[in-house]
Amino acid sequence: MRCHALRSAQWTLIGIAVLLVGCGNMGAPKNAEEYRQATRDGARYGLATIESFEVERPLREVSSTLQRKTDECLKVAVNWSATNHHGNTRSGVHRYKPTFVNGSNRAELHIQRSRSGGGDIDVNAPPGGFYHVVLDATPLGKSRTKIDIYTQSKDDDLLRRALHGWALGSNLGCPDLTKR
Amino acid sequence: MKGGLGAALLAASLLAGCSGLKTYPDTAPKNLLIRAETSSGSILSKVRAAVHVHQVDAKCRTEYQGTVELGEPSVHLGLPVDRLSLVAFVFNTSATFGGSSGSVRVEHLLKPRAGYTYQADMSYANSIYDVVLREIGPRRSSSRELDRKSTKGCTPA
Repeated sequence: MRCHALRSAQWTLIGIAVLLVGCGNMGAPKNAEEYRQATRDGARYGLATIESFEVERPLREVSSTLQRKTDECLKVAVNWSATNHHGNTRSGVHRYKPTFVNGSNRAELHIQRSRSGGGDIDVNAPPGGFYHVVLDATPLGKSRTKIDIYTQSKDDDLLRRALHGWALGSNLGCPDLTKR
Repeated sequence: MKGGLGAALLAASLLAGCSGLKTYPDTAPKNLLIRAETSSGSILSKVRAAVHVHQVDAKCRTEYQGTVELGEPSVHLGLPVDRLSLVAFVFNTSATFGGSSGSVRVEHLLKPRAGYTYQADMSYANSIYDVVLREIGPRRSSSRELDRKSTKGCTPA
């Protein structure tokens, strides 16, 4: 009887593990729209953030700043290495892939990141890597623009802060992605 | 005691040699003012700013000339006029008690003009960094911000 209960608990744990792994891989957003929806869903439970604000700048100007700073700051590969207390060193690369979509009535910036080396494996990631930030800029009249920044992890706060500064036009610095 | 000091000096010079860095031979007339403001935002880490200067030849090949560590808030240095230089502005970050370290670099390909001066403002605060390079005309008649250009933007003569 006791043996049966243990076996049953074991199968339950295996089932939960399989489900969790499945969710982690299959549920990963494959495009910007899926990422927005997943962020909206996560935000309901406090697991993701949508930062929305308005800026006193026309869309054209916001869009131009975002595009220029994206080219300067986000088309990068970050090489990392770490040595443990036994002296063993691991190293890898994080590649950022920003995509800027400039429409007549809307601008979008999607930031993806792929990892390689150092034991990092991005299972089931879309081409270019998992989505980390999506920013939408939509006009509110001639001289105002609404900004929505979608993020799902605290680790992406640095990117979010940088995009916030670029949208406002007040802080045009690049995020130090080695600190992410 | 003397032997210990000698060994320490030898070790220090070997370490300096191993880093591959050398002090920039700042012999040209001063035409570049660099101002640096750095703050890691935490007592657990520190940020140091430095500038590496490379000479760029007609085939766009670079040759490292030297480095200026920015220990002071502002430094004047001289770049050869009418010759292409690659100026790399670097922020080195490190943990106060060991651990992780990193480095970010902003490159500017620059051909200083005679009579003009240049001003670079480097800033690093809360993991956000910026480098703004301006060209200032003779007798401060004009001033314009220069776009970032790396050796990718260099066309062989």
